[in-house]
Amino acid sequence: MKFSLLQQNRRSNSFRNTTDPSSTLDPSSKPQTTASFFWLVLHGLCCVISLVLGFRFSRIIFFLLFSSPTTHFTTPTPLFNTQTQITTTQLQEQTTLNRSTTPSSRVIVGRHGILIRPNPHPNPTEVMKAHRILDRVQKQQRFEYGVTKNNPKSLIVITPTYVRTFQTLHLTGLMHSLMLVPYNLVWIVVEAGGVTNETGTILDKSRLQFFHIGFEEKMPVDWAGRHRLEARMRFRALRVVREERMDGIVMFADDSNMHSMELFDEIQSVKWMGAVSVGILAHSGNIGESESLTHKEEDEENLPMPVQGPACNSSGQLIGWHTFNSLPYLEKSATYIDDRAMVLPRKLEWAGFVLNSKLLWKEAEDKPEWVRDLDTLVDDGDALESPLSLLKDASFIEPLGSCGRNVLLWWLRVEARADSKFPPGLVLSYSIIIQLFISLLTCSVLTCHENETSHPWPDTSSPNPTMTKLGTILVIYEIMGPGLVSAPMVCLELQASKVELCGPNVSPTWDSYSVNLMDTMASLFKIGTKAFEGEIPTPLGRNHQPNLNGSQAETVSVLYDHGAWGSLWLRPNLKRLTIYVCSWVIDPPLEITVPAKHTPWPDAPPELPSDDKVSAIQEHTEKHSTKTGRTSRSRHGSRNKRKSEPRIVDSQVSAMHGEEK
Amino acid sequence: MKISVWAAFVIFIFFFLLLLTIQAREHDHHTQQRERISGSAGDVLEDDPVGRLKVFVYELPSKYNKKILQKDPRCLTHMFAAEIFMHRFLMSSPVRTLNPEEADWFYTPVYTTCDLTPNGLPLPFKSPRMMRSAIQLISSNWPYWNRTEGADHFFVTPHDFGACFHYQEEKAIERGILPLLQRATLVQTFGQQNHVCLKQGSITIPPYAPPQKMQAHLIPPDIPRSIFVYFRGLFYDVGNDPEGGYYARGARAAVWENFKDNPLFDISTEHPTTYYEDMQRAVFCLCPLGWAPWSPRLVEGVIFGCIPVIIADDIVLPFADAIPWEDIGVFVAEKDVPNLDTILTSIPPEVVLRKQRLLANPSMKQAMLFPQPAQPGDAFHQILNGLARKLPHDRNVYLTPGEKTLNWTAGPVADLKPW
Repeated sequence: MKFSLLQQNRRSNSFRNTTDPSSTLDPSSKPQTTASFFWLVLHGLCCVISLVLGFRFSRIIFFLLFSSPTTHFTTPTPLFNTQTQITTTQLQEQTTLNRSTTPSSRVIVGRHGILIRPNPHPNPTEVMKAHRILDRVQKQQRFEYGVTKNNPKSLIVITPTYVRTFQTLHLTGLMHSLMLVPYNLVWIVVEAGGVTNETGTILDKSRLQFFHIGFEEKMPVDWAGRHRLEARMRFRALRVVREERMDGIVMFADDSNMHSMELFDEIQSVKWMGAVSVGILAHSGNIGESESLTHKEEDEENLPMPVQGPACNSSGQLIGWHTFNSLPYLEKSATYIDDRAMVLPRKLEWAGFVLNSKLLWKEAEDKPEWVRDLDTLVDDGDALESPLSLLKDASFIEPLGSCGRNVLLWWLRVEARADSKFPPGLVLSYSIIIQLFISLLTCSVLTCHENETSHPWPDTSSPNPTMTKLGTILVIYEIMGPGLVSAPMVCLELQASKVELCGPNVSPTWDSYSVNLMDTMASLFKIGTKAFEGEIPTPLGRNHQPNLNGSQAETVSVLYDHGAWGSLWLRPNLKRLTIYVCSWVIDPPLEITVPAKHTPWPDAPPELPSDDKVSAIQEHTEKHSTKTGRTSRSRHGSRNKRKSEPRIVDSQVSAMHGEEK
Repeated sequence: MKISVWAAFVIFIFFFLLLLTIQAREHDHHTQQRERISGSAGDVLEDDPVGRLKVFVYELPSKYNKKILQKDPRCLTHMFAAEIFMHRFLMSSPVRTLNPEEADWFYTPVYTTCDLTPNGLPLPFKSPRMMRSAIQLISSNWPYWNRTEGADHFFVTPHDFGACFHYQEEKAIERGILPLLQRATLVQTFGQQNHVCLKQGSITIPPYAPPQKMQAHLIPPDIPRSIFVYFRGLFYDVGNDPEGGYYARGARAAVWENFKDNPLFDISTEHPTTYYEDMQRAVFCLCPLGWAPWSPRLVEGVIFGCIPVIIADDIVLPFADAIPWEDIGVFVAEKDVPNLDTILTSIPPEVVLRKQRLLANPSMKQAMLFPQPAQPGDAFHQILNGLARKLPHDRNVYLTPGEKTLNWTAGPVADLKPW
């Protein structure tokens, strides 16, 4: 700035200097004017030279002046000596990334204070930024080294479904998994009993490309019939693939399956037909004998969780199949959908297979010969037990997931009673599905003060930050998996009347490795904490008063009764866990026929052993019978023991009632 | 009148253009410089020193090198092992000459850092006497030391504070660089601006990290980096610094006190067996100073693609003239350690990716390692390149016959005792 000013002064000076003499001079004297012009130019040139030199010179002077003399390494200054060991400094909002550029060193040798900032808590927005960085880094890694680097194939997902109490629950879960898939995806949903609005509404929400196909027959109430019909429904979908000549990888996703996001990467490598291992979460609806029975069986096989899928020899070649051994369960298994007994999978579930859609086409180049044509197969559920019936020779199947050793997919069937009378006005206001990978290392629960969004941390002096306010809870999970889990944090802000999400996934860039919370939920969050209380080791549980009045709690307790929670949560060696947080808003308030906890169902067995079921599931992990675990205390006791188990989820989820509830 | 107006106008234009050109030149200078750094990094890193310099290796009695190593083979694996491997490398290197008359540089193979405590930490107390003894030997047996009094000699001194030969900074500063090495070129791991123990013209090298071991622990590059900040190592050195605040100038303690409960920070004192693997799963790796500003984590970070977060004020980094450390690492001032989370999270993701891209450059990794056998572009070659860039020697390094500048009796009395 000064520089240009200076120039202008000079310029005006020279201007004046030249004009003044010329005005006094005789205007006819031309040579003098040219001479003056010459001098003027010379003068200007000199100016320029001196300017440039002056600039350089002054820069040197400045440089010498402002780079201070080098007097360093004095003995420790008294300031530092008198300081206490821990010096507290004000947190400075300075974010300089480069170190100071002064050439001199001001490092003092000797004792330095230990700088500790007053507020140790991480700033949520910074945490979010950190996760965005992690996200971006991982995306880049996948882009450079992952399967996405060379033309990923699109996925064709086939799902049989039908309208029932838990359809929303299951289908929403699957939908959210599919929404996270970073590949092109077509979802073919075949609905038994024809296309319904209920299913359509859910599908519409998915923003996925889907085919919603009706199937004339109704879903039978017995499990065997259901399996048969589902097989036929899947064939219907395969015919669609064939007719539309869809190109991609066909996978069978039942609405109650749970998928690890790695599965979608893994199946990209399939050439014709692949098989993955399926973890069976065969839940037991009953207690007592069946429980001990499963337990014994597990002891024998030393397998905490049955897995079906490909079996390989040491050189990684397919030699056979791990199938689900239903023998020990034979008499205890459920026959009808609402039986309070073990629901068993087939020998080989469809979900464990993926295939190249070109196998189904009428003609495709280099289509292998060992494939049966779809038209030659009889449309009969029994003959179509598994996708193996598509093949003439099953030995061509490619085992995936390190030859079936990695379980990336889980099978679970949990259904409400077939006759459960959920009122037509029942709306699932939202559901959160948190798909976490297991081995949660640390977890901290922090309370936010109400209406304090900018600084949601409590006083550091507060001894127990979890219990200060009931209004808002910030749950932070730190999830570290063995090698593969990437998104370490979810932060869930639960408020009495609304749910706000913070965390890495509020942005629309969903990452498959991420822990995912779906939907920006502005809707009501009213949850029967009863459902949480028993299963989830939460620090809030100790001081928590379960609030079970009102219909929500009861509705949730249906969920609870059927053990979905328990089996998901408590199984050891579970690689992923799914948390469903659901609430129904009943509009208008009406008499609900869902029974309360202690009132028996109409025309149903006299008591619902709800608590016992959960504890029964715990027995899987801890050989400890809590038959009378009806009070929350006993459940806590078992929880404590569970903590001593090495591979148990060490996480804490908390949900709290709003004060107004 | 008209002409003068015209003249004024012309001058105005002239000035304007001049101003523009000056600015443009300044600008050019800037961009060129920036380009030059990253470009020269590539250029200089891949230079071949062969043919550009000749090194004569003095033949010393084995008590100066081989015998010492025999006494304690642990010297081959600790982070000061560069002195031994440099010797081995030079013995078989094509830059070695057997004719001292044609040599540009003279190397004295003396293992001054190979005297270890039972814990494996080097004790440098005998080093000055040993070094002195070696110099006395070469100066009496060969004429080349006295010709320049060491100005064309280089020594590898990988100890904490280089040729100051003490692990405590205050003592090291008190001692200063060994007087006999005043004129020699030092190849050392220590580097801090304007420090007594770093003299003009020294070459800062990375500490030795076992290359085979690191190679063996590489994991596939698609394993997602899910740790935000990773650090394993001491926070307090209770044994040597019981009151705290001396060790690492309090920086490590500050890291611990501020971030021990922060879930983004994976920091602890235990050294897991998966240490190398974990670094490959982390985005940022802390490289705070310890007793000395340098740390082997710098090397590990570069090798494993974990962005080094350098917390050491005024550190001079290895091969800083060849490696654009500003581009690949993050520098955090020691006083800013309490804001480490803010600083790291406010780095734009694109910048993080760029740093990772630069770190992935194989020539960058190569320059950090001392592999056996040597490979083109490795740290040995970078040292030779550094030495070659100092050639030709200045005329005035050669002393007139009989001229003496070194004071052989300077320094603590204890150092003058024969070794």
